[in-house]
Amino acid sequence: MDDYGSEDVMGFQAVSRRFGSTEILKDLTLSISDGAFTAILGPSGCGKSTTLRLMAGLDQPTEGSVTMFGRDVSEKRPAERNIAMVFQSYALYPHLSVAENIALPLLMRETSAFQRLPLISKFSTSSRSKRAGIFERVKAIAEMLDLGDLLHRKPGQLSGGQQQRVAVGRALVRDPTLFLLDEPLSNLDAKLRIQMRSELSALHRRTGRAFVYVTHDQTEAMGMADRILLMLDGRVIQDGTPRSLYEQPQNTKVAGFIGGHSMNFLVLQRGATSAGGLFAGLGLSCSDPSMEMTLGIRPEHLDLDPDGPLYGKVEHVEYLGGETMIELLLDRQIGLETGSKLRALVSSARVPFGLGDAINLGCKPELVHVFESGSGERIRTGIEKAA
Amino acid sequence: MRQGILIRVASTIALLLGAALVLLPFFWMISISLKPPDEIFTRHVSLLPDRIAWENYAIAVTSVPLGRFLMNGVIVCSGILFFQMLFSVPCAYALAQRQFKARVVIFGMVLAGLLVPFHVTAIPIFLGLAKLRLLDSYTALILPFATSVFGIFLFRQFFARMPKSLFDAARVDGLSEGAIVWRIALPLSWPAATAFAIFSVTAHWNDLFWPLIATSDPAIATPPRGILYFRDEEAGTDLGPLMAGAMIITAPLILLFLFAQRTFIRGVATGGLRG
Repeated sequence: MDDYGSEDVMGFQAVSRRFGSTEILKDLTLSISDGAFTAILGPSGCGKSTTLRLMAGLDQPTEGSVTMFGRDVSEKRPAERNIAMVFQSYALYPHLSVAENIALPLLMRETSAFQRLPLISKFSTSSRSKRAGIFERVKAIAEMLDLGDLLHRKPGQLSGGQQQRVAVGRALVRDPTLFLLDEPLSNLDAKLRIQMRSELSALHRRTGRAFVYVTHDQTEAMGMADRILLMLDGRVIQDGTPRSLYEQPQNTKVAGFIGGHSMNFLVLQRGATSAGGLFAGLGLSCSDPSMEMTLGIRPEHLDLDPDGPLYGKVEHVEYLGGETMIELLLDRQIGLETGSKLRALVSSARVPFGLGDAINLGCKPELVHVFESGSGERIRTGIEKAA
Repeated sequence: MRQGILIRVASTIALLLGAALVLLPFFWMISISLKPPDEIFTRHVSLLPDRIAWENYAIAVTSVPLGRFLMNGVIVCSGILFFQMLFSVPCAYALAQRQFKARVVIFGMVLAGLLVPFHVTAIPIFLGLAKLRLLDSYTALILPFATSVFGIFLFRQFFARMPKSLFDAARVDGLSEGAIVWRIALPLSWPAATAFAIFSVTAHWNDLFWPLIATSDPAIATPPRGILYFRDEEAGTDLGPLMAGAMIITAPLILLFLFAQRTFIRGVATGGLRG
C-alpha cells in the first residue's frame, strides 16, 4: 500500500447504501488521507456521487460507519463535519449576490440565530461588526479568485466559469478540513475546463487540504489526482496512484477503463503458454501451463516490427494527425481465436502501407498485461518477463 | 396572411366582449356610486350620471365607521396571510424536498383537502369556537383560515421544481432545515408567494359568509360585513352610499393587484426559477 500521508481525514468502514432494493454501495471500505488530492473515478451509476454525499453528510449509510480522523461522524450533519462541497451545477443561490453567496457559510457559523434576524442584523452593533469582519474575508477570497469586481452581481449575470469560481470561493471561505468536488468541471467548455483544472490543482497546493474529486473523466482524474479510487458497481476495484492504475491494472475492468485508447484483450487458446507461439514470441514464459490467460496490450505500446509476433491484415486506418490508429485482423496461425482484432497507435511517419497489407507488430514484454481469462484478475506470479 | 388577421380580429372582439361582460357590474357600481338618488331608479338605462353626486362618498364615510371596517379588513387579512405563510411554506418544503414515510399520504390528504369547500366545515368550526367562547373576536375571523391547503399545494409545486443540489449546498453551508425554508426556498418562490397572497387577501377581504356567521359586533366587522350596515338602517337601502362604500372597499384590492400583476401572472403560470 502506498503511503499518502500520516492521517486519514475520512474513512468508510464496511459502508453499504441501499435505496429500496437497489444496493448502490456494497461493503465499501476506504480512507482519504489528509492533504492528498484523491479522485473517485468511475462511469455514471457506479456510486461515486453517493459516496461523496455520504462523505458530506447529506446522506447516511444503511450499514457501516463513516469516520473523520478516526471518530464516527455517521450521524453528524454536514456543517458539523466542516467539509465544503462544490456541486456540478454550482448550486449558487440565485437570489443572493456573489458576496452574499460566499458569505453565507460564515454567517451561519459565526453569528447567532438572534443576530441573523432581519431587523437585528441591521441595527445590532455586535452583529454589524461581525458582518463587517466576514465581508472583509469574503473580499479577500474574491480577490484571490478574480471575482473582485463581481461581488454585487447575481449568479444569473455571470458566465459559467465565473459561477464556478464563486462556488469554489464559497467552499474556500470557511477553511474546511476536506473539500468535496462533484464533477465540478463538467458544465464548462473544453478550453475553460483545462484552465480550471490547473487552477484547482494550484488551489490544492496552496490550501494543503484534502480534496476529494468525483469525476467520470479519466483525463481529469489522471492529471490532477495524487491517488485514484476507481469505482465500479458500488465497489472500489482499484486504489492507487494514476501511474499504478495505468501500469498495473488489477483486472481487465480497470485495464479497459483506464487509458486514452481502450486496451486490446487477446484471449489465448488453451495451452498456448507452453507451446511457445505468441506467448513466447512476446518474451513471456509461464510456470503453470494449465492456466487460461488473456493478454492485455495498449494500442500506444504496439509498434511496427518486421519480426513482431503479431501479424495480420490491415483492416482499417484512422489518421489522427501525429499518430495513426490501425486496426489489424490477426492471422489465424498466431494461436488466438479466429477473427481477433488488434488496434495499434503508430507514428504517422511510419505508415507506408494501406488497407489489406500484411504487417507485423511487436510489443515490449514489460508492457504486456496478463490476466486470468475467467476472473479477469491480473496474474502476477509465475509469469517471467524477459525485460 | 389575411386569414391570420381575421382570426386576430375575431379573437380580439371575443376578448373585448368577455372583458365587457366581466367589467359591466363594476362600471355599474361606479356609476351608481356617483348618481344622486333620483337618477338611480329611472326607467332608461344610462351609465353616465347627469349630475355627479360626490356626497354619496361623504355619506358612506360618515354614516358608518368605514375606516374602522377597512382597518379590520387589514388586520384580519394580514393575520390570515401571516399564519398561512407560516404554516404552509414549511409544510410545502417538507412535502417537496424531504424524504419521509408518510409523504405521499400527507400530500394526498392535502389534495383531498382542496376538494372540501369551507362551507362544509363551517358549522363544526362555528360550534368549536362557540364552545371555546371565541366567537365575535378577531381570533374567530383568523383562526379557521390559519392553514391553507391551497397554499401548501401551490408552494409544493414551486419547490418541487427547484434543483435538489441547491438545498444540499445550503445544508453544507450550515443552514438548518428551517433556515433553508425562510432564507432559500421562500425568497426563490416570490412569484408563487405573490400569487398566493393575492388569492388569500382577495378571498378573505371579500368574504361575507364567515364574518356574518362568526361575528355580530360592528367594532370587528370586516368591510363586506360592514357595508351591510347601510341596509340595516331604518331608512331602507341607501343605494348610492352603499355603492360608494363598495367602491372604497374594493379599491385597495384593485390597487394591490395592479402593483403585483406581473409577478402574480408569473406565479400562476409557470414561474420557473431563473438560474
